[in-house]
Amino acid sequence: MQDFSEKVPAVVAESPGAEATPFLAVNGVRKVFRKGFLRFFGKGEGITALDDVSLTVNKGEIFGLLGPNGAGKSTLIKVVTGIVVPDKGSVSLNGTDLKTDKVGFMSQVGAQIETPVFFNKRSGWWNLCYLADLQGGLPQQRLRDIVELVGLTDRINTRVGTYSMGMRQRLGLAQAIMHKPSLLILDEPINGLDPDGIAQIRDLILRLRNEYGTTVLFSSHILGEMQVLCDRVAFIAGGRVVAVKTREEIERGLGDVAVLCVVCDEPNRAAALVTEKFGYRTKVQGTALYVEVKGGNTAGINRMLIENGISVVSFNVKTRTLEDMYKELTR
Amino acid sequence: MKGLTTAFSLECKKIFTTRAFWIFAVIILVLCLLVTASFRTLEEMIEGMDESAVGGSDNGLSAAQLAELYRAQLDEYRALVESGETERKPSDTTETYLKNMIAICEYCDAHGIDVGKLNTFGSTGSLRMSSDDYATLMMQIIFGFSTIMTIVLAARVFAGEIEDGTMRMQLTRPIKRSTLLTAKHGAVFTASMTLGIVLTVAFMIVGALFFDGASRDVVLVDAYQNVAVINPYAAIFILLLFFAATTELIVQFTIFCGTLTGGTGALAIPLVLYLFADTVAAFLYNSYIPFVGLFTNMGWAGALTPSGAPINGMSIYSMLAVTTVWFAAMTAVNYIGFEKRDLK
Repeated sequence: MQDFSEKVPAVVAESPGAEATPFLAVNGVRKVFRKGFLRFFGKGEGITALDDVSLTVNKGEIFGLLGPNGAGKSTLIKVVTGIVVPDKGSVSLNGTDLKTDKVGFMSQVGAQIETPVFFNKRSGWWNLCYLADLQGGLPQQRLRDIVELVGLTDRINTRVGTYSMGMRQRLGLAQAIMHKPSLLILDEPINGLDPDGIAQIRDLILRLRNEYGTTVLFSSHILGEMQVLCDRVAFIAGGRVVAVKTREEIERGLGDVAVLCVVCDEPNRAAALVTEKFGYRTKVQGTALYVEVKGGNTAGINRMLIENGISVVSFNVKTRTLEDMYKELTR
Repeated sequence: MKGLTTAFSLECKKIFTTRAFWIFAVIILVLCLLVTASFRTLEEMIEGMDESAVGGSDNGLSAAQLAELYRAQLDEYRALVESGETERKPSDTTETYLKNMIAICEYCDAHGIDVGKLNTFGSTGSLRMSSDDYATLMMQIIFGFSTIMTIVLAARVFAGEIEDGTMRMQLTRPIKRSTLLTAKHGAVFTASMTLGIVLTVAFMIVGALFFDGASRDVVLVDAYQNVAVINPYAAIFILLLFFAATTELIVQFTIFCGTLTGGTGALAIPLVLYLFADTVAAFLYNSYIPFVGLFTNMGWAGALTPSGAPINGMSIYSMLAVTTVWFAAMTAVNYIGFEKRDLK
């Protein structure tokens, strides 16, 4: 894959700048996966994959979906791309409703869903041309530029069946961005990529957003990527959006909150003192006292305990991570 | 409309550039050529034999005499039914058969057509090898293999692509599901028809060369021969319609199975039904369910042959109506089912 700073591709969305205006709106989407013949009539037992999910993605924003396996991230992405039909609710993009005007909606969208699947017995180039024709036709030069951009030039004429997972991801990305989409939807786009590939995809996503104003909706299990890339993150659990946080809120939440582990001779008295003087939440386990500290006043706690005659054996501060936040929100 | 045209041409391109499609076509071609060669050899072996030993000839009656004969049989049959000596089952087509025979004889008599040339009244020799036998066999091979090819193609292009996930990639394009389904449906139909017609024409030519230019007899067989004697062009037209209607029925049914089940079901159910169709239909038909005939005898040609109508008195118009209703219902189910289907 080439260095994106070297060549400006004329292959991505041209609308510059990020604006805080609602672009993609998901309203009250519910989806139950049912089995048997009755599923065609919306009846019968099933598993609720999405339960009244609503969210908005602003224009020019990188929006992340974070949640454990089976939380409903991929289902939500499939609903937004029209692959899965919701039982109720609506999805609109820039005022275009997916249900009533699928063609108008999808002409603005580029999507890569889970592991990209292609016609394995055909070449990568054949697959790309096939999808480009379904898109309504794209110039060959643009396709060549895209292939070069994702670093598949050497292998584009070989059969997709011989591609590695990483190469499939690159081809998947190529077909998603080849038509200059306003909204790029990426479901686990860095699965199977090596560290260099991950960095390159990250750079590409940032570049698409920063230089061309492309709105990006993506899901990933890799928390670090979410923290680095996303302007906002929706935490999804059990088919529901449990929280939507901006990057600032996440960083503030992570920096301000720490877990203090104090091993002392009188943990119960220490807990009462901490609650009385600082108002922090505490938990005692054996001789260990755990304190959820907000505002970083750990030194004050240490001083107060010593002044009250409590013998402190050890004093450890663990800063809250995104993983902690993820676990708390999705538990 | 542009989206449909593009999707249709892409689907056609996909099918016609599939290696398996051409391998299958070549296999059918080779098989038919082998049959042709062996048939010709047999023909030469029989040529030297005594005519009386290898087959009979027509009974020598004129059209008017035959019409009179069938009228008498019809009267006799009606008398038996009225007296209660014969129970008339819903599936009994004797009256229709006799009426048809009378009508054909009267038509031949009025237009000076030799009834001896009609399949219904002609030779029934057990050993006689003729261009008719050859044509029947060829058509059975071509039609049988084309049917299997149609089922495989429809299952692969619809349910197979849902199963392997490639349909998902196609649906993330700005194209309606109904448009994509129409394009795939049309492409499979076109490919199957093309294969069937090309093979039929190829063997019309081969047959004509092998059987001394008797090309008309070679292609117009069985149910169509009677019509062919009167009007060869009408027979070709009916043959094409029959082929088209049957191909369409198979494509629709395979897609229907794909909508309800997965890729395996879409392939297995139509194939099993096709292979055992006669047995199943015969069992149901003999179990006093005459309307089963509507589905087993969907081809319009059935109404044109003596005893071909599935229900007594059924006309070609009612067959056409039933066919139209059946196709419309199947199409609606397929489109609604696909619109509601969640993809992997």
